[in-house]
Amino acid sequence: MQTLLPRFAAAALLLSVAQISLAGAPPGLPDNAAGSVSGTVTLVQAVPGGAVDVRVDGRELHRVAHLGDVIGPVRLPAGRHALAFVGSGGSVARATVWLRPGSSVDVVLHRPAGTRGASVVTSFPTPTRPIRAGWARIMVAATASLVPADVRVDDRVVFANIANGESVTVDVKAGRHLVALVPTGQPAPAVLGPLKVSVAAGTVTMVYAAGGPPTGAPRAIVHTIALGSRGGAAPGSVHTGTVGLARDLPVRVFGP
Amino acid sequence: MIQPHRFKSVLLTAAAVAVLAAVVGLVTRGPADPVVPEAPQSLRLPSGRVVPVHAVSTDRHGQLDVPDSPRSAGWWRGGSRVGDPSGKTLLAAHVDSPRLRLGPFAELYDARPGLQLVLRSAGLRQDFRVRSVGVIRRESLTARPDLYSPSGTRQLVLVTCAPPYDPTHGGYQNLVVLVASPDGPATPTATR
Repeated sequence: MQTLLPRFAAAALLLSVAQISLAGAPPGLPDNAAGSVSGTVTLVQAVPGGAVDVRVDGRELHRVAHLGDVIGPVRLPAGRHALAFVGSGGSVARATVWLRPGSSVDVVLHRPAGTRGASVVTSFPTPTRPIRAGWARIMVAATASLVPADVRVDDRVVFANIANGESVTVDVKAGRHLVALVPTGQPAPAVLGPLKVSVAAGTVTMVYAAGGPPTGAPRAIVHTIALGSRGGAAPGSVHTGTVGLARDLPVRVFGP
Repeated sequence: MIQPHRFKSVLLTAAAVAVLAAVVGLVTRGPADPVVPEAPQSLRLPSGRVVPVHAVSTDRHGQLDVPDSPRSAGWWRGGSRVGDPSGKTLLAAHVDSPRLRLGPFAELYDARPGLQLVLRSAGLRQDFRVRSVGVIRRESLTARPDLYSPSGTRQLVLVTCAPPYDPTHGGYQNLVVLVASPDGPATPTATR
């Protein structure tokens, strides 16, 4: 764990800057009250040992994100956004994201392919295209220090020789599935998993491999997003805040 | 069987009655007439701040599609409208955003009993008074039809997010719920 902090600090010297372009969005789109020109960003911290602060457009979104933390989804206006992961030593890993209206993207701070080198930032657009009833989607991304690996879902190779920063998406029937990364061309032993992933119909589940040598075996970071369609059902929940500015405000409670 | 000339005369009589009814309706129209309910378009908060209101739906998981900007509120279109004699009008707005910071609905945190709210549609206005402010779990709305049902006592219900704030578990964990009762029925506005 401790060895990772100096490594992450080295990122400051290199100032790892990732330019991420999600095509289709012109810059400077205004915020829109009707909600048609915004998207969501989810930030994933996949670097062991390095506690980082997360900033969006120069403002602090989250303090002290550790390995495995999934922050968001955060709704942002469509257009260009500057994201930064700031380490305790002042190291910075940056990314620029072009957010398309209605789109969703994961921005992942992760280890490079090798066991040395600065942390990198990669964006993974959420695969939100329509899905048939009763099915779910699984995306697996190689975001750990790994030997050359194949992605296996339910013992079937869905991506051979995946590289660091690459991902693969498969549609599966809702239910429980096994996800594993195995050395390329070999059925076993897995370098990650096999993970039992339970997926609900109409959802997309992202599986990120995180860490890896020299800080132990890779682990998985998993999160799920609904592939929503608008309807008229009774409201079950309301998500009406994004940045925590009201976290310390007291509420004056009264009445019946 | 009605003869052709008799049929024509019946039609003429019916038309005359319809025209007469329309004229009488125009002449006698007044505040006592039942209003035609309309979708809300704006809300004036106790501070005087006016927030535009947009009709919104729920997604397949029952989550309300609240406008992105905290300066706008979403009205659940399955609930009561301005001018409906009963039921709840549920409005929700974001409490904050990265770009616009705290929004007008942060005012709900500090509301007092009896403060006035004004709900307007294209041609109607209804005044409400704050009755209560409470805090519920964010996901518990399903179990509270009294906060959104188009039946029951006529009320205006405003919600926005409230602490605790946990960004690793979807942000705010609670909702502030303000309930207001009408001062009187909805009335046509002067511009109608």
